[in-house]
Amino acid sequence: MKIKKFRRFEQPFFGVIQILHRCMYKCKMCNMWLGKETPEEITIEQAMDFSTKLGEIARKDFEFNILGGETLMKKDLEKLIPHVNSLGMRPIVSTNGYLISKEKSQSLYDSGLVHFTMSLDSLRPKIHDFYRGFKGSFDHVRKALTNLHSVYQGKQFVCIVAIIMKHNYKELLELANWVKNDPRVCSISFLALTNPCWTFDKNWHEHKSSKELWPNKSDYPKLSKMIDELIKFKQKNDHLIVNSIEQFEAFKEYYKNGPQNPITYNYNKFKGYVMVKSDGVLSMAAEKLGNIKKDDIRDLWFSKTAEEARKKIESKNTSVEIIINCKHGFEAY
Amino acid sequence: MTKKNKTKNQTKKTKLEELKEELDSKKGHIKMLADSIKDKDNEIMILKAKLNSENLTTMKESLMSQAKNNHLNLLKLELIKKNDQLNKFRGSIIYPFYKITHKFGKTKIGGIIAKLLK
Repeated sequence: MKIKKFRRFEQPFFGVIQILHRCMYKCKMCNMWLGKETPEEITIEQAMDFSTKLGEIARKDFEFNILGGETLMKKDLEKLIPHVNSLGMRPIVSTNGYLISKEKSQSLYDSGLVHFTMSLDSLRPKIHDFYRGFKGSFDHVRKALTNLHSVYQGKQFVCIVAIIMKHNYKELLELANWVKNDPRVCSISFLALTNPCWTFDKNWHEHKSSKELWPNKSDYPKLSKMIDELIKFKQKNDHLIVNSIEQFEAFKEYYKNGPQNPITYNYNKFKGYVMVKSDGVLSMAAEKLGNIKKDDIRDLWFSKTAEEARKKIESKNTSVEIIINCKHGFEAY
Repeated sequence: MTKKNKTKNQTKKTKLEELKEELDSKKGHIKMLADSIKDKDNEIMILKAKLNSENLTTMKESLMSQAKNNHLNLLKLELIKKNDQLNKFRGSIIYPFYKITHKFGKTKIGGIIAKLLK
């Protein structure tokens, strides 16, 4: 197979593979918990096959994000990790921490996984439990961090992920300070709140169901101030915050204008963003290209549909909600 | 109650709530750090135990090698002593007689005489 030469920004550099659509939590900002195990769900073998093909066209430092639902609910996940590692890509597993026992930590350690992203929205147990829809979820994060540390002996890279929402935006700096002080975690990444139920309604953030999630208009000045403080924190402790300053600026715009409005940013950078959903649907950012079960990404990436997708992204005619949290899209090359 | 007082009270309430939230998140921060300190303590304990076991094995190895050396030295000393005794014997007047009788004893006639003498 001949692989064409890439134009700038077009080589896959960041990927998200949603390995399953199930979870034990009932998060307010997500509907994954409604999902059940179906035959459409991609298997580990299919994910391995896809990653082999992707490895041929992706950038060398490709970040392979394995997401869920709750990723650790997937059987044989430990098979995928060494495979991705062997291809020279960096596997990162996202988790809520619920299933990280000492035994699980050991099996993940043995599989060669070192990078984790763990959800923690607030240092107030009440708020974290409220958003995750599960009592004791805060304590599960605490236990997970302890278990990982006891097995990995400090060799783990845990990135805390916090979604910016109505009841936690005031304590984002406190979260960043905690990450700075706690040697068990290495960084923090802030995410913008996106459509909680994937209703495809552009004004979802104004619905009653989003009342506790999306900050009020009156909250915006304080939220903006908080993001400015995070930018200052980032300037002093660059390695601790994953988001770039450009992404923080985009967050401000996103929360001010609402999720339906495009952001003032160079969208070209999102042309290398690969996304695979749990049913195998492959897309470039938000633009659907095919299905990994029957299609080959090496063909799809150079197909006409891919060209059209690129044009759509270029003309800012794509979903902001998908790209707003693509951290590498906001990084300078 | 006047409007001014009402608004004052409201702002005080919101400030109080904000302070409470801040306090809660600080408490959470401290909880997390306490966990982290505990984990670090455990790590230190494990490392200490490791260090101790490593020390013991190295001590054992060094003792073993010392004992071997001592045994070797004793053997060398004994060898030297035996050599001295041999040299003394070789230097004595008896030695030529011993050599002659020894060689004669090995011959057939010498063997017969020895048997007869016994």
